[in-house]
Amino acid sequence: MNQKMKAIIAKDIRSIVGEKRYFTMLLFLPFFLGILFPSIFVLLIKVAPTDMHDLDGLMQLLPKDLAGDSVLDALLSLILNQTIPIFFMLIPIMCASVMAASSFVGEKEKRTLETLLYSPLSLRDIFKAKVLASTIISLLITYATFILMVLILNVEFQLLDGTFFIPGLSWLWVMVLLVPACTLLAITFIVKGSAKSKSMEEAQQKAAFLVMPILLAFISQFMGFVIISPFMILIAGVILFIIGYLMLQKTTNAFTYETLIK
Amino acid sequence: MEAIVIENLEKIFPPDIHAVDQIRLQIAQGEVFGFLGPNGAGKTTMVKLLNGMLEPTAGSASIMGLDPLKDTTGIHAISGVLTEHAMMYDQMSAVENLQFFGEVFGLQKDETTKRALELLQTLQLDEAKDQKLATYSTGMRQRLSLARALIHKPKILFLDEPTSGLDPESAMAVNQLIQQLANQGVTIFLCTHQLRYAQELCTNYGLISQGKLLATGTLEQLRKQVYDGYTVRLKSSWLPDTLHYTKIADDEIEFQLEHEEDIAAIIRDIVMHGGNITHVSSRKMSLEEIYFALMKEAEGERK
Repeated sequence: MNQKMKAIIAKDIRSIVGEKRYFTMLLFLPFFLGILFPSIFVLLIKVAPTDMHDLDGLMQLLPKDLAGDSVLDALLSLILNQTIPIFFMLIPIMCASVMAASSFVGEKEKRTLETLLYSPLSLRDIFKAKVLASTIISLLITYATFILMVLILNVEFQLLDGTFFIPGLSWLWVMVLLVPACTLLAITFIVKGSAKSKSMEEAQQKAAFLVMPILLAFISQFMGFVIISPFMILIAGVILFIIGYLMLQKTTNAFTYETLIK
Repeated sequence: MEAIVIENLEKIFPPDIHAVDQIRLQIAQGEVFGFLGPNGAGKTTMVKLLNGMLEPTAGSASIMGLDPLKDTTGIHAISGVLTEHAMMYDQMSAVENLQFFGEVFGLQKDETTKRALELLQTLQLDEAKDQKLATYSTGMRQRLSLARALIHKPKILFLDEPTSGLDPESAMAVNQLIQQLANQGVTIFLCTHQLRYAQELCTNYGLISQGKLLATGTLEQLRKQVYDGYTVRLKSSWLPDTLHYTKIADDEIEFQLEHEEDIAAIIRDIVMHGGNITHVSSRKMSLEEIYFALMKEAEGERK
């Protein structure tokens, strides 16, 4: 990466951080999904346990290592290590969508992209810099939210019953593979739609399509229909990462100066 | 060496709009070339073709020996482009914008800042240098865009309507800067529909209408293509019967002469017949008149 590309990355990041409306939008979902939602779950389960007979079906589906625990511990482990990680993937999708929409469609909308195209950077390098800026923001916010969530949950565990929360293997695969994969896919959807989208909002709506399978997986887990094991997450992560990378390459290669300045 | 060589360049947009139609042109280094025509004539399309932004339907071009399609970034590194649609960042100040584009053009931060401040002063924007662009007027934005196009000291400058939206004072500052750059040997490709403005700056012209090049050359060469004589304006109480003229006002007429020296004989004739002359002036055809004459001719051919 050269200095010219670094300048674009720094400018794109500064632009989104400096724009209150979009930055608030970027931080809202991580706060809700990564901080508020897990904390409330822990509180609900540890402080106000309800009738556990409803969960018998779900308990039978649990992996053997979890099924041996008490119902409450098993339920907590299920939610924190199986369900929340799936839900957590909405964060990179949201962040990457907002960032990429601002970076690609926003620049096109405000006609600053054309000025950038007259620079001595190839179309590929301009796209690469913009994809990197969106990826950096998306990963930074997602990883920071994860660290904050682990810290807050541990404080909560300590205060409530003196135990600790140690993230399971699912979290590792989600963070290392699924989060980057979702980021790449969200950017690809935005970039792909950027040629036709007339506004940032329109581009983001198209990327919202990605949220559907995640919500489906989340609901399935939550209702007890299926338990997504760490191994399944690992496989899904690898496949989605490869698909995201290939789709992004294909999408960016399809662009020419002419299609972008239309 | 020729800075720009254009060989039968053609660009057809769907369904069948000939934006640039078989244009051949050569522009020498250090020339201020006026590419003149009304809105929609194909001027901006030509700038985009020469900078590799559009792919030609047919023909080719080279900028300082570089092919716009094969070496687009090479051309961008040596040229500065100012077009109506190329905007800058509203949320950044003038200095920040120039610093950013300087870095994108590979300049070091210190060098960019120094150059940015110089340009802002030349274009009378130094007092507003720290203001966000969102607060800038159209004229200020236009001047800043020119500064942006010049940040990397380009060898070729493509200017598409550089004085549009400028007040007379700002337009003068821009003109002086263009003149200064031309004196330093920068080749300037100036697109405009303001013919009087072009006549002040350009050394060579290309007149375009509906994608077709009507004529090229210096002002003198263009005059020869249309009419190289003089238009004389005369205000007199008596006129010779032999004179073929057009009446402008009650006692004011205009007529054409091949040679300026012939005016003396006409005046002598009027004085000898006791006529009172209150005004005599002669001039050659202006660029504007040449342009309209050529346009009329082209329209006649099309019909």
